[in-house]
Amino acid sequence: MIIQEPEHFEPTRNFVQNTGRHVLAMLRGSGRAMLMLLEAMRDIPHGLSSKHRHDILLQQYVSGVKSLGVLTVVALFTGMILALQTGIELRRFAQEVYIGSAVTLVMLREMGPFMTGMIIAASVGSSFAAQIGTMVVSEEVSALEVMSIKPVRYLVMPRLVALIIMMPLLTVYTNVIGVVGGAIVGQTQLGVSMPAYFDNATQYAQNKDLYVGLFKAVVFGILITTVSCYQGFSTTQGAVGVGRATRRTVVISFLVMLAVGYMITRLFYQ
Amino acid sequence: MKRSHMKEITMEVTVGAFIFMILLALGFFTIIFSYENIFAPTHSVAVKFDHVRGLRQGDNVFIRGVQVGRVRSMEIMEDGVRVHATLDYPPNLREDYRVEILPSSLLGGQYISLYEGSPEALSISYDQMLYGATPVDIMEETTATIKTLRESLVEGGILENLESTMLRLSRITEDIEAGRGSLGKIMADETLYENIQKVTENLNNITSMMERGEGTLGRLMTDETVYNNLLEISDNISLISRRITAGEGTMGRLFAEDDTLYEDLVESAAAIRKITTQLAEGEGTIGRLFTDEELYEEAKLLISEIRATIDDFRETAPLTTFTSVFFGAF
Amino acid sequence: MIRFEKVTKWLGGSLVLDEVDMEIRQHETFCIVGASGAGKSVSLKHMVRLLTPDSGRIFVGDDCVNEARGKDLDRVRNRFGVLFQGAALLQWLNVGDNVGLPLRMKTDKPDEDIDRLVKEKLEMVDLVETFSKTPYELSGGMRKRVGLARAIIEDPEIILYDEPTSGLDPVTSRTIDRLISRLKTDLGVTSVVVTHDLHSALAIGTRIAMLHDGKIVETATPKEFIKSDNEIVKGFLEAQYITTEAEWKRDPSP
Repeated sequence: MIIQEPEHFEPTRNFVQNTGRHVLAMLRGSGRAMLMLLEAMRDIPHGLSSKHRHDILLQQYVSGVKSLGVLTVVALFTGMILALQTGIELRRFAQEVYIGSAVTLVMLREMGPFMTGMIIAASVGSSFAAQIGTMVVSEEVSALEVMSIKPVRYLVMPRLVALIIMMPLLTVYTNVIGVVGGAIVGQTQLGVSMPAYFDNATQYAQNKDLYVGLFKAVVFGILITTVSCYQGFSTTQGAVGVGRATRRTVVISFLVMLAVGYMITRLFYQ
Repeated sequence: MKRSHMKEITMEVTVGAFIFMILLALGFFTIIFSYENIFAPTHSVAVKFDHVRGLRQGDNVFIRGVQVGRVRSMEIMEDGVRVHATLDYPPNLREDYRVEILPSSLLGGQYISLYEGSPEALSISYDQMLYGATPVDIMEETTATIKTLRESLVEGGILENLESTMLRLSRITEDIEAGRGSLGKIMADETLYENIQKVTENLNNITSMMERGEGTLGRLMTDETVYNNLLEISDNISLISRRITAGEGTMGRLFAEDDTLYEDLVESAAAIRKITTQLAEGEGTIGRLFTDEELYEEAKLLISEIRATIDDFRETAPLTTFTSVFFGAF
Repeated sequence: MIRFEKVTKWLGGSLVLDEVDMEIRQHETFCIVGASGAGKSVSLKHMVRLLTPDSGRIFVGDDCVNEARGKDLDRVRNRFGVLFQGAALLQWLNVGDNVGLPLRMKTDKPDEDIDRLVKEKLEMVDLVETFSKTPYELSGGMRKRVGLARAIIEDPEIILYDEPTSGLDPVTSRTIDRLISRLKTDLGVTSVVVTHDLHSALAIGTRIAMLHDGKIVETATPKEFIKSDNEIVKGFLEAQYITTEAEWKRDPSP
């Protein structure tokens, strides 16, 4: 059963006991989240049926298309800041043209997937947590259970599929907008013409950079869905609980994305 | 129901359009980053280098300063590295072609320069394996040059030789100025000059008179002036020869007074000749600096840049850290 | 039909059900009354395994609910229709989709058939005109009726009502009471109603059980219930201004 019964613990007597309890709770939470993810993944084939098609489409629309506005702004400024910062330094060596490759590489490898992940975790992930949390509080999830509609299949799987598809696509979008942002700064602030910028931009980036970044985005998508849906299902104590679940979703997603992002980078770029 | 149906269709179309556009962009970038131009014919060349000094996939290939292609892949072989590059134009290679890996900036980055060869040379196909020159590492080369320069200047004794030679030369010139020694005297002794001038004057007079037929042999005999003149000449000549044989006087001293000047001159001349020969033949370090125009230019550029860098070092120290961290991260 | 055997449940450090024994017979309307926090809703949730007892067993027919897993649990749950306290409608679906959700998700019925069945059930709760509306556009009472329509969409044998009249005005509450009675007659279902509204329980219940501090303190027919000697029951009746039989009217069905 996905909904947790409220648990009660005797008040802790000392620091060690308290720490131990938190560690155990964390491990247990991770385990439950992982089991939920596995169940959702096992349900992915059901996503092909017409019953879930609409839900997946809806989630794709909400998490993908609806996020384009904020992503555009964030990506544009990320690219512009990157170009400006590296450009100012490279100018000392009269090598400003290298902002093209600097911005492209940083966007493709790290900033593209990470910025997309941050925005999606903060906007879409938190909304997943809030929505599922509210459903738990208002017994909608219980209603689904009683109707023998598996909450994980009905609520988590479409979101998981949607983010697995949309995260890499949004990352491509972020990358493009970020590189364009860099070009704008290059042209207006650093005197690097657009053709020179784009020529340099495409000079050092490789398909490996692009696709490792997209792989990261897929992993981030899975992480965001897992964390947000699990936090949603773990909601207790009404509206306060929903708020807490939302906050925890954003914080945990960021931390996990940073750690996993580092590990993926380490794995592919020794 | 109809309203929600329409809404769903709109949503489907929007999501579909988004996915389609992004996949299109993804395909576009995949092609760009694979450095293959699928829309135009390309020409592959394979070049074997001993080593490539950090050449990377995607680095540019230039022919006569025009970017014509990019490095597609590299493979390590037993005896070097085989670099595959894709060119937009077929290179018109001659037998004396040259392929080099050159640094594109002091900050790093390499490019391949393809010199097709002189038009007189025999044409060859670019399909065959080409052989590239071992790339010059400007930093390494300069360091080595400066090292040898210092070694030969300080440890090889060139500096000492030059010093002693200069010392001697300055002594000689001082002597000459002060009229000391043989050459000095030649320069300074008026008598010798006057004597010689007189002799030639007199001889000239005699011959002129003889040509004009003035006087006769008797007249010559009777004429006291002539006699005196002749006497003087013979006196002078005898004096000169005597002094020469005795190692005295100007010329005499020059040849016989003592060996110091001679030895000095010989030594100096030898040393100078050695140096000049070496310089001319481009041997040694300075010699190379003089003869190898390219190296000279490079060194000059390098040194000016090094100086600029050192000047700026205090300012740029954080930047150096930044760039090394930044580029090290990838 | 439903039998509790020494069911004990601790929740959040307090004992909510203390060795509860209870039997609900087929076709009856069994009302569980009691003060807030007495364990009424908890006992209801045990019947559909939304909660698992710490000890004891719960049977639905011959199936032990607290031991059922997977398909067996689904089969047991399919015998139930549940009306939750807040109706628990999915907010992003319209009324028609909410009511038809179980059919859409669990069967391969074509949309037309589902729509037809949905309208049929909505008609039973007098809300067929709300088919395309979203839950936001409905009042609390209407939401509960839509929830009821969803609970009966699969023609269950047992309907569980969790506080069906809480938060509703007396007029609407009586409408719901009549609906419960009507469904019982029309569909021949067994009903379990958890409520603190004694008027409602006395009106619709075949039998009434009083839960207090995790124990059943009284189980009786409405007539016997108001005459009960149990002090707790007496206090509860008095608190709701019910002292004599004359003060309530039996059978609210039209």
